[in-house]
Amino acid sequence: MRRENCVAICTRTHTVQWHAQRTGGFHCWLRTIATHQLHGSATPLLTVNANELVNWSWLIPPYRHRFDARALTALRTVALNGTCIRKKCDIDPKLGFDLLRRLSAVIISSLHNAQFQLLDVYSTHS
Amino acid sequence: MNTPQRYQVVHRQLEIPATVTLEIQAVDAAHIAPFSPGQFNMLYGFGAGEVPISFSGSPNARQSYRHTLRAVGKTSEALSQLQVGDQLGVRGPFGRGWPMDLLIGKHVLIIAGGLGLAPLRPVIETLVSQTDQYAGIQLFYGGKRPEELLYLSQFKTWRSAIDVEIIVDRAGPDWSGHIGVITQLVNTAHFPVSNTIALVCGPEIMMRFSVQTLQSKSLPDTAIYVSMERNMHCAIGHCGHCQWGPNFICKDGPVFCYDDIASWFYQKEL
Repeated sequence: MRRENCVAICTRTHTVQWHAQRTGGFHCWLRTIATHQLHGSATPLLTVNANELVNWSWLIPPYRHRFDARALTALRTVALNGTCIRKKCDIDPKLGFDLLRRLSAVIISSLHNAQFQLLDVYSTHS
Repeated sequence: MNTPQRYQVVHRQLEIPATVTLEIQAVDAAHIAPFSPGQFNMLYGFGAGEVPISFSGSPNARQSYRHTLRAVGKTSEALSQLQVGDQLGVRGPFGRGWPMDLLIGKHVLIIAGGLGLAPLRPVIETLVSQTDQYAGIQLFYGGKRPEELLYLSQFKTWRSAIDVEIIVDRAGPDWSGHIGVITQLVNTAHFPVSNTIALVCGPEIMMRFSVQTLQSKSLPDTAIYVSMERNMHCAIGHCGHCQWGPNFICKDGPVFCYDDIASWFYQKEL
């Protein structure tokens, strides 16, 4: 269910369950249409720091990730088997509730940060 | 102090689009009045009007002031168009600045957003010049895009003396720094809660979130200072434009200890 990985700098990953464990960070890249083309560019969305969750698409249907990630520094990550966790949560709703309660705080925080990023707050201070 | 004096632009630096730093010298006097980091001058563009602008240069300079301003209205637009040799009127210095004396021996967190770095640059330059007097110095700076960050040429110097972290809202593939909101950086900061003072300056919404983040890390309200720069008109507490609860921002601020203004900080329409 849990696997530790060492990720080299500039590694890009399409896996969905990265959790930065030590110093270092990820850029989560929005896959633009151009990304699917040869030599296409990608738009970086945010940086994920140590002890932060990179992706939670394994938790919520349809369990498909929409972002790519690239390691900016060498770091260690923890990968979780989403299918296995979901099965365990189905068997043990208490586990599922607890997991969702913890992760929802992370997801909401990320949502608020994204909303804050969309505001053009820095342009008005004089 | 309250009568405008003639000053002349001796150096003009375009920092980022629509934002310039003017270095100005008095025309009729050999010396300028000393100022504290966080204070401001009233700059008068002839025929255009007067606006409060914080000092953004070193407080040790005795011959000239530096002000960084962004063209956002008629007056600031006129001031930002001034060229070397042009004159303007200056009243000041006014207001209460950052608590420089209280910083001695402390771990100092400097949190700036956008143009909010300008009023903090005098603090940074003071701290950088005497780092041994402080337990630690960390600068967190947030901006919209990499190309809209202020004073980038100085960051190399600052990084050699203090910890500097920069974050932007949006960036292209070439940017290898942080992307996100400034509170993410503050969240990752390690500092001794009992011996830290935080100085926060930027858009009010950014200051609100930064204060909340500092509070969540158990930093007491008495250790948080914010710069509230809004509605200032006369600069001497007479006109009432900048009255904020029991305070006049121009006279009692613009820098306030958060503990003193916490009850007003979230009041709308003030």
